[in-house]
Amino acid sequence: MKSLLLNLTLACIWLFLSSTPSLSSFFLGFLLGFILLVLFRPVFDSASYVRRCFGLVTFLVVFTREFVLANFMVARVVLFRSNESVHPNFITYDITGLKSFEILLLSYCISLTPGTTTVDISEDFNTLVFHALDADSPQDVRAHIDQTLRPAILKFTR
Amino acid sequence: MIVLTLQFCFAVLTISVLFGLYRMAKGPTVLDRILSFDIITSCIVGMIVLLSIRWRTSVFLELILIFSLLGFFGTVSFVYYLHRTQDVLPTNDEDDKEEE
Amino acid sequence: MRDILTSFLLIAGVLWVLIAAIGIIRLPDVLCRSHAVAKAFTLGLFLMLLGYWAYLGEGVSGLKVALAIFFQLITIPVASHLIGLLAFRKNLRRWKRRPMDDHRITKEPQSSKNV
Repeated sequence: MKSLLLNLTLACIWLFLSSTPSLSSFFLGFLLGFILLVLFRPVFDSASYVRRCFGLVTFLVVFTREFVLANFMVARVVLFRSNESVHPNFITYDITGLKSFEILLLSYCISLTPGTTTVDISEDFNTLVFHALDADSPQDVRAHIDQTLRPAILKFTR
Repeated sequence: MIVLTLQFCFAVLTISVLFGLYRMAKGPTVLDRILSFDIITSCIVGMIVLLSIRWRTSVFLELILIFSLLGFFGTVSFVYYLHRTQDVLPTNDEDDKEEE
Repeated sequence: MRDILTSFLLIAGVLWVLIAAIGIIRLPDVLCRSHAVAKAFTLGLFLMLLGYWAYLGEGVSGLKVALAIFFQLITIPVASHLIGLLAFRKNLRRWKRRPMDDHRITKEPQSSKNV
């Protein structure tokens, strides 16, 4: 958190130094400050911040890939498959031990990734219920989330 | 070139709005109608985008923001209202009893 | 150049919107339709606003377009989630109804979910 503030401060200083302040120069300053934080990890005590930033980048890459895949899947279902061959169903998913922000992020990602929309959460915040468009094998759907989304989110938030 | 593109996009968005209207007229449940309302709002946001490209202006940006948020709050308030009313939708309960 | 980029993004976005609208017509029940809305519509509007951004170029209004993209990305999935939530809580009639696939051992009946 302190490192993020430091990074933002560096970006603002860069903004004051540049002749024409704009959004792109702010991002350039942010990037330069981040490189500074990477290089001086032991001095600024920013190792975890740098790790989480790289986690955020991997998360965004994974999420974008899943999102585009999801769209092509929905397009295939909508355009080329008859309703008889689609098997929608509700599936539960275990989220024991996740913090509330991670649950929020995970449910948002589930809503936008292949074949699933978050529907409900149990009262003890341990089980997520979502609706899968093609739920022939619920284990596969769960394993897919376990392999792609969940580690990406955990890498970013922890 | 870009005028042609805009005309094509307008045509496609109009078709989408018509599909949404069809679902709104036919939709078996209230939820279908809310969903199609959502879609029509989003289509109109897209039309505002096309119009502001056509007229080479950026004054409609606030309108885009307001419209998207209005559609969202419309959906939320409808769902909030429907949460409190019971037995307005066709449910599975009758089938459940038969199975038991 | 900018016109070509804008046209490309606009046409791509509009085609996704069309796919979502066809999904609204074709898919069998509310939950499946909300799938089409949550995914294809989000991508479609995202691409269209990106095309608008590419057309405007860099400037003060760029931030507002970013804000609009952010709002679209936040609100459309949440709206579709709310509809799914209502359909689940009210135990709405759905396509090819099968029992919920529950990984928990203690299985609670669905009808007790009514609020």
